[in-house]
Amino acid sequence: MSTTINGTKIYMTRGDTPTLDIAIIITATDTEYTPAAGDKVYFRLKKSPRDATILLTKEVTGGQLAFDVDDTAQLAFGNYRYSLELVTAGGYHETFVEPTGQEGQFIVGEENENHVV
Amino acid sequence: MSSKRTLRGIVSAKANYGLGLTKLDVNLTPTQSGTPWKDDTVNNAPYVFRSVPMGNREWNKLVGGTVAWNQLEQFNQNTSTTANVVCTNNNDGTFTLNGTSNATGRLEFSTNAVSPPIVSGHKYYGWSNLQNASSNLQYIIIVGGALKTLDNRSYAFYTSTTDSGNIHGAIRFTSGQTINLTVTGGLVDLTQMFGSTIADYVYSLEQATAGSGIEWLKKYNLIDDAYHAYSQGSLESVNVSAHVMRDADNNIIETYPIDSSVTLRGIPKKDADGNLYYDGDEYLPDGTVNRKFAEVDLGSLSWSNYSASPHNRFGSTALASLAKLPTGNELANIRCALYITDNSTNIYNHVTDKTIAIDQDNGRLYVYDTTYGTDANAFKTAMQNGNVKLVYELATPTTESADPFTNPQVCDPDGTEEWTDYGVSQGTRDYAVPVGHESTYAMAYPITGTDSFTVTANDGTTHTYPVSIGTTIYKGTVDVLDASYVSEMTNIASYNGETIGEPWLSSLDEYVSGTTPTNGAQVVYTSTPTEGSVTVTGDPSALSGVTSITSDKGTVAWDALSPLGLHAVITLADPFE
Repeated sequence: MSTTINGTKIYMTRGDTPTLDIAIIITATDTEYTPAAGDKVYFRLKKSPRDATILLTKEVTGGQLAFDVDDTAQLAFGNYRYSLELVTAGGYHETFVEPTGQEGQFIVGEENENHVV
Repeated sequence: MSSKRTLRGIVSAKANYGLGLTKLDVNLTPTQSGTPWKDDTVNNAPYVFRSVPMGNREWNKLVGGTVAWNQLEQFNQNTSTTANVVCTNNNDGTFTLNGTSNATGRLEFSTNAVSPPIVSGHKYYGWSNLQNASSNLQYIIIVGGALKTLDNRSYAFYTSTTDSGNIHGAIRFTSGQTINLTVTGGLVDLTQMFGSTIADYVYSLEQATAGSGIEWLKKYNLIDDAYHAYSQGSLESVNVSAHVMRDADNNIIETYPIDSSVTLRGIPKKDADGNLYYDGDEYLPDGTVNRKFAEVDLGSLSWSNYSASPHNRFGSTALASLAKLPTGNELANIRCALYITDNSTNIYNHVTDKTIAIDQDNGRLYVYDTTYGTDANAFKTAMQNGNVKLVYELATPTTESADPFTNPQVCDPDGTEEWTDYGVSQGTRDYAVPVGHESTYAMAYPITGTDSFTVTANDGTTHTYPVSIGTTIYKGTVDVLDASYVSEMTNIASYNGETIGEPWLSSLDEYVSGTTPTNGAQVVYTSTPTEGSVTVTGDPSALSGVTSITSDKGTVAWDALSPLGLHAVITLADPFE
């Protein structure tokens, strides 16, 4: 199985290198928020919501989250949690995908082949 | 398999989750319970010398006043022996009495021939320097050769509407007194000097309570007990050259010069509470002189005899367009060295001899003086010979420029202050004319700072965050989020000449750049900012949805980021695009 997305639930095969388009939507106006210069969007992955250890941090650039082989190659198969956070240049910080509930589910599946690095 | 996955879902982030305050500062400023320099009590009592009142002053202006100075005693008695007491004229205004009296006797200061005739209704005050002498020595007043006062005192007040003859003072002693004493004194026509209103008031005070009339005069330094040269009457106005501050040990702190070319004229008056004040010219610290009064020599005016007997009086139109006219039968705002101010109706009716008025209708200056009958020329000549002057209020005040003068705010609370009378310092007169002024006095209002406060934030519920500063901040900012402070002012409990930054606050003074506070005042002054930490109970940083923040001290400045309310749309990018 390769990469599939259901809402904010992400399933991907360990070691795959998909690129995800991340659109940030202002709910009230249903318009897309375009990050300004200096704004940062982070993807953070943990085993569980209360786990203090962050297993993976990646920056979303140009509206895309691109995985490398090494990002998940060492992860055990199973369920994980992720968050997406916007940190603006002015210090505003909003987690718009939370690692709890139905949001932020991240599942790592078994690969079928070995990737060549 | 499609290379681009479809939208799989929309997730709304919790609108306020994770949002907090980005700024929560409390700005602290010193507070005072009142405004110290705005004392409601305005002190405008003229003075020459006095103790420095508590608090500091804000001078508004110097105010002019004019008195008809007179001292009627000539001290011309020859050396003689009276009742076995040798009375030696020292020819300096003093007599020496020596011997043991064998009868009741007296030393008359002046001969009857040179003494002035008593004026009916005028109030006289005579004095001597007998305060420390034997109680069997006393000052007395003699009119027409007759002894008129016999109080066991060193001074006497006297008035009469029936006496005739000349008036002078004397020292009386009883038989059997061994005397070795140098005496002096004086005699003043208070009515001539200050006008009827003040003279009658002082006299009434003395009659009600012995000593109170003198106390009133001395309160304003109007007459002291020293020897003063003979004077039949001359208009003398405020004319000072310096304002001198002294400390408690009588050392001069500072001498502030005053433009001595400025003569400040005006009319001494009595307020409803019996206090003296001046209605006169005004001299402001910036050098502005508001000239409200002018002086004229009566001998320089043209005079005519108006109306036939029994209403004749001398009149001049010279001041008709210059002087301010009285209303009805009010007294005009004038002061003459020789004549007592009255209204024109009384002058027309010959109520009181030797009176002067301005007619309220035509502005004519009238004088009633039986000495000259209907002879206006004789009257004019007498005015010329006597150099009789009149101070009058101008119909239209004018403005002049003089030297600015320092408005001293620094003085020793236990010290004294005095005016240097220019005439006295120049030797042209041996008495000082009290200086009028208008000033307000500072009251002591303590300055308080802040050592703790409570911030209350309302985010739908209410949260309070007590802050303990650990020190007292008079002016500065407490950063509640960072638990830190910046203090910008320093407190001095009792100022004693320290070098301080500006601006400053004082418990006694109005702040004026370039000046310093009064010694002894609590002072809070601008200083190099200092920083430190505070203790905040609770953590307000995570507050979300905050709608208001208040503090029980100072003003609050706060910022919270408004939530954008975001959600994500995640799709799989086409790896082949």
